[in-house]
Amino acid sequence: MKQQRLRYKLLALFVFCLFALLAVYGCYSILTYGNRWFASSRNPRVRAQKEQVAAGDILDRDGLLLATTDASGTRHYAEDEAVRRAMVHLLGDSEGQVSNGVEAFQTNYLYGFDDSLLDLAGGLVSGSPRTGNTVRLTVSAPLCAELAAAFDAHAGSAGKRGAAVVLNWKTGAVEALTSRPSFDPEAITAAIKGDPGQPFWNRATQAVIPPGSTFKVVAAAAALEQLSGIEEVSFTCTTDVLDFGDHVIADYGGGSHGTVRLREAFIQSCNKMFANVAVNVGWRGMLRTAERFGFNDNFLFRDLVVENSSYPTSAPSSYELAACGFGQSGIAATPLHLCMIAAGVANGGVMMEPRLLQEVTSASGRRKLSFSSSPYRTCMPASVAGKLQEYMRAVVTQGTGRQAAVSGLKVCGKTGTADSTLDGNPVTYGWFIGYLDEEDLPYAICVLVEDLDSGVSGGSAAAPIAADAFRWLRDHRTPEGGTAAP
Amino acid sequence: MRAEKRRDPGQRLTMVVCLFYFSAFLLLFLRDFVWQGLALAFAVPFTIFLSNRLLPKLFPADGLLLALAHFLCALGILVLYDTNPAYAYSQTVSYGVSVAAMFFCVWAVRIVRSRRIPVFFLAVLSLGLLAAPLVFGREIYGAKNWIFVGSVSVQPSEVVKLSLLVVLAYCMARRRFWSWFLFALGCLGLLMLQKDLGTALLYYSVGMLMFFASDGSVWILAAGTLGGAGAAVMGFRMFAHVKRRVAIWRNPWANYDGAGYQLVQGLMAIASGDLFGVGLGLGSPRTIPVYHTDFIYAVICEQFGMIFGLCVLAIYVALVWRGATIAMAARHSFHGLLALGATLMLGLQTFVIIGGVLKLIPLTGVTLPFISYGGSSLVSSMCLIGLIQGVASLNEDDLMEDTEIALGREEMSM
Amino acid sequence: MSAEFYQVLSLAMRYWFALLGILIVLRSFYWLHKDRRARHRRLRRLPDAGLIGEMVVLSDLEGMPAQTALAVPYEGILGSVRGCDIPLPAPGIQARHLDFWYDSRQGLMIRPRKNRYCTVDGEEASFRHPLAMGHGSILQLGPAALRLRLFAGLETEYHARFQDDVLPPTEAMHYGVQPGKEPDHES
Repeated sequence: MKQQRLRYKLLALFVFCLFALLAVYGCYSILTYGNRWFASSRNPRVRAQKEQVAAGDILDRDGLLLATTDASGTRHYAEDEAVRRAMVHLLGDSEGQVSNGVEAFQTNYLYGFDDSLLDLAGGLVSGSPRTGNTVRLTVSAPLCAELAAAFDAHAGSAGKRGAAVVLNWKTGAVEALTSRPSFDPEAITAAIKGDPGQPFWNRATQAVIPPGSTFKVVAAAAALEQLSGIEEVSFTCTTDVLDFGDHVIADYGGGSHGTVRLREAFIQSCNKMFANVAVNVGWRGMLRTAERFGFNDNFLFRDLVVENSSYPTSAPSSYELAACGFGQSGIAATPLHLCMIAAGVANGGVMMEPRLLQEVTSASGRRKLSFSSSPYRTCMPASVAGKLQEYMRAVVTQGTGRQAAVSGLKVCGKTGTADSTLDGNPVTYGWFIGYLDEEDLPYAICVLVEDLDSGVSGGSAAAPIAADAFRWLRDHRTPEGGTAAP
Repeated sequence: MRAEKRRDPGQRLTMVVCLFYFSAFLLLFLRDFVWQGLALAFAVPFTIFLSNRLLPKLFPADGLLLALAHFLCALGILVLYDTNPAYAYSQTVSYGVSVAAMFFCVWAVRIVRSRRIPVFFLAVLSLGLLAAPLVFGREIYGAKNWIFVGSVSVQPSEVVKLSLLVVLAYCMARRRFWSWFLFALGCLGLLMLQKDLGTALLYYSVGMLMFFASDGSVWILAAGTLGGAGAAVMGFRMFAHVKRRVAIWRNPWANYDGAGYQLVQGLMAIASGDLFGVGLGLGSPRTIPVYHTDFIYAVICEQFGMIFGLCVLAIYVALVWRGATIAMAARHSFHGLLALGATLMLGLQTFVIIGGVLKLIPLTGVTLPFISYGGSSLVSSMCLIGLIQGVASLNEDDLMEDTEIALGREEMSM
Repeated sequence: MSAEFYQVLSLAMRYWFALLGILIVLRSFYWLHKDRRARHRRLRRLPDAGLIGEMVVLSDLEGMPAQTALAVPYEGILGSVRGCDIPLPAPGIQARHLDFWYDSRQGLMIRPRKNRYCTVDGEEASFRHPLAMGHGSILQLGPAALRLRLFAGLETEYHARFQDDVLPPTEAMHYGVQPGKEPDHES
């Protein structure tokens, strides 16, 4: 009996542990994912609240009205159709076709779920209909429209699917975000719903796509950090392909770059050199650096729902490892994440968490939330970031990214062209990630153009769009960060 | 006398519980102004007060177990009244029956003390009961585990729970390994045939842990755990519906309009509740499928919030604690194992269903003891409490006897 | 009542409910704690609670002199391990040698585990053949001989089968026959 009693106690403790597990897991999941589950468009409580409460307004950073509710309870979006189309993915639509837009993800504020008891009682006394909170975003509506227009203004990207993101690399604030193809939220038709181009899909945050040569930023960071003296090692790049048996590695267009070192290889985007770099760093080293840049992390940003980026975690074959050096073979990232990587380089190795909410004010004018920036993680030492900054500057001045150059601005960047398959058909993605190395204009950008025509690369399709955005920023932003009148 | 009363922890608990139910039912009455609401606002606290204060005096009962069980049952009635009053009324009837059944169990445990238990008869009866739904039953939610007697439907696995505990405790205390082992195997086989995997899991783990408690062999415990894991893997390979359950558990959002709908709605309800809940009588608890049985914990979390949800968990912990204390105070291993088995049954069942609702483990269709709607479940949970209380009352008797003997000795030596 | 007013009321009440929930939990645990302490206090006054008697070691064993009294609970295990209910560390005794339980009609039942043996008053007991011990019975296992002494009030109709001439009556036994002169059982 004595021993039996001890075992009774042990089993009771076991049950307590199970209950503790329940409590901890329950709290953890509600505190981490709770607002995501709550904001789901499937939540019937939100639908019920919509009947009682008029959704609050959404404003852009300069106070331009992006969405409002009229007296009859109908939701209306910005007056300018170009702005409506450019921002619909970020904002979402009243039908809930776009998932995780501001309209859906910020229901807590927009429909006044967080209204305090005093607010509610006050409303009850005054008898006025309930209105949600006003949400002011960090984005600039004209810049979004400018990005959308830039897609159509250049031959390489006109009519293509794609996405673009502009972040403030100092604070992480999302300055602009657009995805294409787009649609007008005021006129959703059956034709749009059936469009095979999936216009409701926010490519900037939801599309995980092979980053191609833009991943060389991460590969170069891994090399600079883990292989001492790598900058001095030279490599002779010939037109011969690197043969891995069933796969070969060639450079873009089958060209060669002669004898290069890491810097030249980065500027010229030499795949063979980076294949060697990846093999030398090894898959564990590459994985470590990639994870420090946010690959394989579960993105739980407070203001944005972003699909997770992936980097292969199991030991790859030697070809796959080599291909990791230039962003192929199972690596995939969203445009927003690549923009964060560019911003991380600009910010000396510290990636900021992307934020979208500038300010939330209640219907009675009380401020409930105001912008605060917080670092997401430190992805590399400042010394490595400094070298990468210099490399990325050289890409724009003398390398593959020359088309992103804007007079009067220190543009830095990296181009990329990734091959993949979509529904069994080969498809080419053109990338440009970059940033302005200017204290007054701390902006980073990522442009994605899908399904490039043959002979077009990221440098010729995506970089000009970035150049347009930088030009717009140069012309419209005052040094204080405000927007100058046009 | 007054000072004595104030120190009684039972009364203080009863007062708070009564206050809780009075205010909750009154609030619900203010929502829809139905007289039943007002009646319940007075009847529920009154019943709780009476049973907590009077029953322990009339009958050998453990006050804390009684109070906690009453609190949980009344919580079930409250939530059911909030979501669907018709369920609440029939639950009230089952509650009355279950209290009677609980006292029957207390009495049964007390009288069998000096008698041999007809274990063989019990075992055959249980197997017959478990086989009945396979012959007469019809399939509900993919499991064939109900029998219908006229208008009353009974879930035999809930009744067999009790006899399982008695047979297991009896045979284990007498070290008759094969008797209980074959019986438990038969029960598990029949449950598998009914596709009632949740209950099978429960029976299996309770049986295994009870055997560990009686025998103390870590090796057999490890072998049992491995065997259980092996059976789970085999079930996963063999049964399509197990595979589906696991897929839903791993990512319910992948198919949230189809298979994952239940779980997703439950999670959204809990998330909407946040810390303090959406408010009693507000929100949309009825959009959660099977809100009245499997997902009633999600409704509680939605209405009262995560803090209250944690409090409910803590109440179950207190119940388990009390049960284990009673088992440890038992003088005979039969009684100890019986009380421990009943405690484990309640604790593990709670864990399995709440874990399923919170997406910690794959969802299996067992009820939340005391709270979930359903006569069979309520009666069997209260009977389990009855078994524990029976053991508690025997412990108390023994202690009283010892006290008398000690007093007698003192008198003699004086 | 208007839906809006009910909403405000219900939202206000949820803090009250959360408070009551926490209070209920605290009170329950307070009750658990109180009962635990009350039980400990009670048991401290009843050193014999849960015991039916003693087994007295009749001959010197390793680390256990003759006349050592071992408390016997209602049910348990006798073996050489310290954790056993009756620990008897002597050569020839297995870690868990035999199970015993008190039966109010027959006395203390002795059942050795499989492949273990012992004798009760000279008769050999086995797993299939458990034997009962009465007041004064002698249990012989390995080198150890133990005499059972039941507490007053627990003697059964079963009569002790030991003969006076086999072994001299022990002091402990002597006490047991006269319930008025109980020694301190804690010794």
